[in-house]
Amino acid sequence: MSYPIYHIKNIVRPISHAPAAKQVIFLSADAFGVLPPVSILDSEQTKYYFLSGFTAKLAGTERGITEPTPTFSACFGQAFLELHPTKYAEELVKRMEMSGAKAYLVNTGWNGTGKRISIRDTRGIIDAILNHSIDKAPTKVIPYFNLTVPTQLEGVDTGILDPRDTYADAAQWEEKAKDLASRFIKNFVKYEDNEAGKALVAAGPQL
Amino acid sequence: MARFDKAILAEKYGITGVTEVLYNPSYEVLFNEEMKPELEGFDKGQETELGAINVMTGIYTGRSPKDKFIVDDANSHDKVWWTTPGYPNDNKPVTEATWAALKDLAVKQLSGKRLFVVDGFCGANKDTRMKVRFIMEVAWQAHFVTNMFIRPQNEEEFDQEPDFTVYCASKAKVDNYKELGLNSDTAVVFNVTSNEQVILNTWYGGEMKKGMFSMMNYFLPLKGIAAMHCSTYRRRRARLGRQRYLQL
Repeated sequence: MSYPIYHIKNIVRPISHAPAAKQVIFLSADAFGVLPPVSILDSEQTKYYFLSGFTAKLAGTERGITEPTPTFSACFGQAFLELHPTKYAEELVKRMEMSGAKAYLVNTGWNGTGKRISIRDTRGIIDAILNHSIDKAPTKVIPYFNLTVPTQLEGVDTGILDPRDTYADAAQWEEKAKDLASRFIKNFVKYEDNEAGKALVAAGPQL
Repeated sequence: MARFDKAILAEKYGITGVTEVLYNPSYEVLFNEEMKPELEGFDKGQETELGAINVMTGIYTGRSPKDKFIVDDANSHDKVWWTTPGYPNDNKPVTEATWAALKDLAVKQLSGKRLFVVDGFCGANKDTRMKVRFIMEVAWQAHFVTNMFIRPQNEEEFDQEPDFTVYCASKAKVDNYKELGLNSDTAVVFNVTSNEQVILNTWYGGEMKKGMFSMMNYFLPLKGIAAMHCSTYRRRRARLGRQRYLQL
């Protein structure tokens, strides 16, 4: 389907002109139940998670996909990259540092309850990012991934912010986390063919 | 409005014997063209209940990444992220000789026809946008790119020379693809040195749109500008105004 931009009423005018973004959100649907619903990324993690482009293909979105299948699509758009992915990560972070922008990894996938993170909670998370309250929230660090997560956010069920809390037994999370971490590590090997990529390994999951 | 005629197609692009050229046609003209009763097959547009145009694109209902190639020359060789056996991606190289053969196929297909030429801008920033010229024989494809790209607004913008040219020859087939080392009789090929794209044997409009998105992803970071696959939103007053930057 194709229609001109003028068909949307509330586009930004002059069209597509705005100051530099202050918040960048990477959207992932984690089918493993491992990633927190929101993580606050530092600049090295921003590069790492942008390069990894982790999400899941869901049943019904493509022929042959019958169960959630993890996929790593460089820069969340590998099919359209013509230069080495590290080039995009460098330019993005350079711009973000110039404008003081921060990046967040938002996961709309499943957690230990076996259910998908609710739209209500995801909206609460997006609001907290846009109104900066997430930057003042108390935080903790999730093991293996070293991701910083808020422990409390207005409008969001506190019980889901640490994914381990959504499992009856945190050991179950642990097992899945190790599996997903090893997939990240394995996928990232392809970026280690240049210095920029090699330097980022430390920002990714560690086993 | 600036003049554009078939003499330019012959002189600049080697597309000869063109019977008529419709340059940046209006929506009204496009509607009449794609609804012409004599049209058949994938040329034919059908009006839906709500007044949209519905078309068929055959077996290509999406992009064809296996048929995507980039010309490997002295300029592109050290810049492009080429596919490797260990870590495959869609950026497969073709030689300059193969490019010449494929472009020739497109030029031959478009020669002697009644053509549409649509000029549009890719990118909203005047300093970094590219002016793209699409040359094709299918009316609804002209409609598609008219929708998807930013239209020139004044004489100066019409007169501006294009930065990139797309030859969309959906009706041409690459019969000797094996000889040329290609994947099939379909080919979507980019030349980042001459700034051209050739599309053969696929009708899918997205090859033009995503093709130009890919080209922005090539040229912008080389100029120190970040490019990404995203949409952006701007908070304005109490409402969220949607900003469609590169809506993908």
